[in-house]
This record gives sequence, C-alpha cells and structure tokens, in this order.
Amino acid sequence: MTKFKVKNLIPLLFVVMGLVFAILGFTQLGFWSDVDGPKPGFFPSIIAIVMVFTGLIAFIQSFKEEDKAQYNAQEFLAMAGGLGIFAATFIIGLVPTIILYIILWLKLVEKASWKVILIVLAIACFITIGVFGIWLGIQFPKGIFEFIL
Amino acid sequence: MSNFEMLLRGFSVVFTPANIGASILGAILGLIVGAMPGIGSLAGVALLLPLTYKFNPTTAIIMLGALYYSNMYGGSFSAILLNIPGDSPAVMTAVDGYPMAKKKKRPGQALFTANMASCIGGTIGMIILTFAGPALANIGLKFGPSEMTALLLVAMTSISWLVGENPIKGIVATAFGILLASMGMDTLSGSPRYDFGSMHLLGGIPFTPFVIGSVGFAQVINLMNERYVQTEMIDAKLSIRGSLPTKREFLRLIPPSIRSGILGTFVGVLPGAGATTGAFMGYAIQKNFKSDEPLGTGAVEGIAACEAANNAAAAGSFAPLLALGIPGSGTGAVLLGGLMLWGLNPGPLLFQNEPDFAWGLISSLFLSNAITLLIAIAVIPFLTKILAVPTKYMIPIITVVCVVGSYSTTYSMFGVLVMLLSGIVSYFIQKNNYSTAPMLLSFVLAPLLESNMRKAFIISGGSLKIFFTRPISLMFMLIFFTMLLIPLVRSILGKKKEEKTA
Repeated sequence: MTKFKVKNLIPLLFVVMGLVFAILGFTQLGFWSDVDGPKPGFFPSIIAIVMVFTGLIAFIQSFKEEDKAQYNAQEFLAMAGGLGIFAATFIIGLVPTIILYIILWLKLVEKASWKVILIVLAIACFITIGVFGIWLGIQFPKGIFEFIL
Repeated sequence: MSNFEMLLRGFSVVFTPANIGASILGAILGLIVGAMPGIGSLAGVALLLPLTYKFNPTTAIIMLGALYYSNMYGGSFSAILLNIPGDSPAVMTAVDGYPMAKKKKRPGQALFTANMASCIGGTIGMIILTFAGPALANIGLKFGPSEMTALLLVAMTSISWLVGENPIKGIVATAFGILLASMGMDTLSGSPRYDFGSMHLLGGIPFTPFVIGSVGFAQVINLMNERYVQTEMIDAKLSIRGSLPTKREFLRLIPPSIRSGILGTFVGVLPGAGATTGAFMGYAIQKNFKSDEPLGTGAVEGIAACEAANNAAAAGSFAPLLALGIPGSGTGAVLLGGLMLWGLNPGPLLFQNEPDFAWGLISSLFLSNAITLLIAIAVIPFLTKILAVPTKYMIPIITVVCVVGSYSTTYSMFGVLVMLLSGIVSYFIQKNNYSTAPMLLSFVLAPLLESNMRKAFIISGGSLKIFFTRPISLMFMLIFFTMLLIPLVRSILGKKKEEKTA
C-alpha cells in the first residue's frame, strides 16, 4: 500500500479549506440575491469550488508524482527560532528577545566566535533600534515588564 | 502634453534630495540583495516594504523600483564570480559569465560586460515603457467591469500556467491566495466574512506580514540547507581599470544588447513571463546570430544577450503594472500591494489622476539605471569580499528583519504571527512544487477581481453573456479558456502517445 506523505496531505488540506469556505459562503454569507445580485459569499464560494476540484486533481496526481521533497531537521530549527521569538516577546519584550535570539542562535547553532556574534548583534541592533525604533518611531512591546514598570 | 514632456516633468519630481537618496539607497540594497545567492528581488522588496512607510508614496516606490531594477544587475555578480546566480534572471548569465571569468581569467571584463548590457537593455525597456505605458492606459480606459474581470482572469491564469511545472498546482495556489484575501471584509458591502470569530481577522490578513512571511521567512527556512554549501570563488584581484573591456569587446556587446533589450521589454509586459523568461529567450535568440566565440565558452555576446533581456523585462513589467494595475510577477505583486497601501490605485486612470507619481516613477527608473551602473562599476574591486559573507550569518539578520518588519506594519504581535505562519505554510507548499508567485499575485488582485466581477454581474442581471458579447472581454475569455484547456489537452494527448508506444 502506498504510504500517505506530506505531498498527499497538502492537496487534501486545500480541499478541506475549499469545502469550509464554500459551505460558509453558501450557508452564512449568501450567494445571490434577486434584488441586489451577488452577495458576499458569491465570489469566494466560486473560488472555493474551483479549489476543491483542482485540489482533488492535485491529490490524485500526488500519488503518481515522485516524492522529491526532503525535510531537514535544520529547517525546523529556523521555524522554532521564529516561534521562540514570538513566544519570548510576551515575556521579556521584543528587543531583549532579539538580542537573546542572536546570541543563542550564533553560539549554539552556528558555533560562531564572540567577534562574529558582536558584529551580527551590532547589525541587528542597528536595524531594530536605529532604523525601526528611532528612525521609524516604532514602540516595541516590552512583555510583562511593561506591566511591572 | 507629449510623453517626452511628461517624462521631463517626471524628472522634476525625481530630482529632490529625498528621491535621489532613495534611488541611491534602493540601488545599493538591490545590488547587495541581487548578489547574495538565495535572497532575490522578491524577498528584497518584501523585506524593505516596512521601511518605506516613513516616505511619501513617490519616494517609497522610487526606492523599491530602484531595488527591483538594480537587483537584475546584482544577480550577475555571483553568477559570474561563483557560478551561482544571485537570482533566477541571472541563471543564463552564468553559462558564459563563469567560463569567461574562470577559463579566460577575465572576471572583470565579464562583470563590465554584464553591467553595460544591463544598462543598454534597461534603457531600451524604459524608452519603450515611456511610450507603451500611457498607450496601454488609454486602451485600459475603454475597459468596463467585464473586460477587467476577463483580463484579471487571464493575468492570474497565465502566471499559474507559466510558473512551475504543474498548472493544476498553479491554479490551486491562485485559489488559495484569493481565499486568504477574501477573509476580513466584503469588498462591496463592508460586512465581515470568514473572520472565524477572531477580532484580528476582521481586518483581513495583513498584506505586509503575509508577504514578508511567505517570501522572506520561507527563504530563511530554505537557506538553512545552503549554509555549508562550498562555493568556488574566482581567485583574482579585481580593479576598475583592469576590468575595462577592449574596444572590440565593447563593439561585440552592443548588437545583442539592443536585440535583447527590445525582446526583453515585450516579454516583461506579458503577465507571468518576467525577467527570467526574458533572459532565457534573449539567450535562445542569440544562438541564431553570429558570435565571435561559441556561446557557452565565455562569449561576450552570451552575457550581453541575457543581461540586457532581464533588465529590459524588469523595466517593461512596469507598463501593465502602472497602466492596468496588473503585475507580471511576484515582485510586481508586492510593488502593487505597496502602492495600494499608500492609497494609490494603479490602473488606466493613474496617468491622468496621479501624473506626477506615474511619470516620477518612470523617470526614476532612468535615474536608477544610471546610478546603478555607476555603483555596479564602483563595487567591482570589493565584490569578492561582499560575496564572501557566509549565508549562515545572514539567517539571524533576515529573521530579525522579518519579525521587526511585520511588527512595525501592524503594531501588533498578530502581524508577527501571520508572518511566521505564512512563512511555514509557504515553505511546505514550495517543497511540494507549489509556487508562491501565483498565491501572492492572486492575494493582491483578488479584491479587484471580485469587485469587477460582481459589478459585471449586477450590470448584466446575473447573466454570463456580458463576458461573451463585448469584443474585448470575449477575446480575453477565449485566451482564458484556452489557457485552462491546454494542460488538459496536453495530458490527454500524452496519454494517447503513451498507449501507442506501449
């Protein structure tokens, strides 16, 4: 029996998404009014139906095509890094999180020297604090410290 | 006023310290982004989008336009010195550029040839844009909702058809982008839809974090595999004087540059074709013409043909973007999204309602072309050092720009969440051969398509006839259905062929 892989799952998720949008479009948003013409669900419902059909074709095709996709644990590390920044920002704020992320990333993942870490940190701080914070005037979230202070 | 007079008026808009500064900054960043293998113009424009919020719309688009355009120059640097194209339009440049640099030991001349050809091709593209842009807008003025609907359908289908190997996957990606764009508010009635009870989704999926994520953060994830790729840099000390081509070489690069400049511009105007297709076609056409040396062995003509074509295509792609509001590529879609965020509506009325903006942008391309050429020549001695920056140190910096950029455009961590999720989703779909360009294009164009389609149906009282009784919309609908049917016919014919051979 053919193994069910990510390449098969992706078109199936598209089909499910299409079905959800089509059902909501037809039942909650409305498709057509004899007085006003197309209703808010008209256009997305049509597209959702197109997505369901093409998604099904892609799903069938996915069993025939060669599986070239290779997933590397390192790639998931980049995702974890991004999600880690998101989570830590709520606790210690965005700027300290970024500083911590760069130090941890370069030291633990890249095994970089402190000289390199300081250079990359200086560039990142210039972009974050200099360009976005000072020049563009962005107020960054301070996490739980905002409430304590 | 004639187009030439309007162009001069555009120059009067461009020649302010802020606009010249934006052009120089865009050119420098574009060269860096283009030269760094693995980043590319799409990610570059997406990552810089939040920075432009500080500027007025004209200055902002001048910077992004300069970045997009100069990226075509930058892509050739790594193609010539590393044999790795900085961006896809420079793929063909490596075919002759690297042999010229390595075997003939003339890396400087190869870089100079690429720069000169880029400048010539780009200038031709801009001259054609000066005349074709307003002409296209005049045609666009005749378009009603039915014509716009049909044209948008062609634009969306053509990009899903041209990008990637499988048109079905292209259509799925297009539909995905449209459905994501439909979340939030209904374009005509303003009532909420597909918000799934979330207050954040009431305003829809924010454009900038979505683009930064699906292009920038997805690229960060992909770069993780390229961190330890060993590249063989050309071992030579480069200087500007030592890079000058001979008179004979200079004369050799002109004819292919002119030919590819004209061809590339028209390729750039087509939706979905873009600079990469332009470069491939420019090189293919050059094979039919005489070259002093065979192509592929380090011929000046080979470098000139593809570099002129990709720059001309980049300039040409501004014609449908400004005149019809239809981008030809993913980068064009991001530029269009930026224009909409700044309150401008590219389309047939842009040249009438916002002449300073439209002509300012076209004039700025001429300025960017000259500035980029000068900077591209000036950086030749430093290129080996710039290209030696390891990818592994770029990853945390790009991640930080993605996070801070998405936060700054929404003032909310919801923007960061959208960026991360769209990056992860794009990574998975790209891994499985779904292109993100159709998704981005449809995300930007969906509101325009929906409002035009609904208006057309209101006018016709719900009849589909409106799309088939008016000549222009009929023509576009025929193209649309042909594009839809070709993959099906091709698949049936392929199966029949297989049965016959079996």
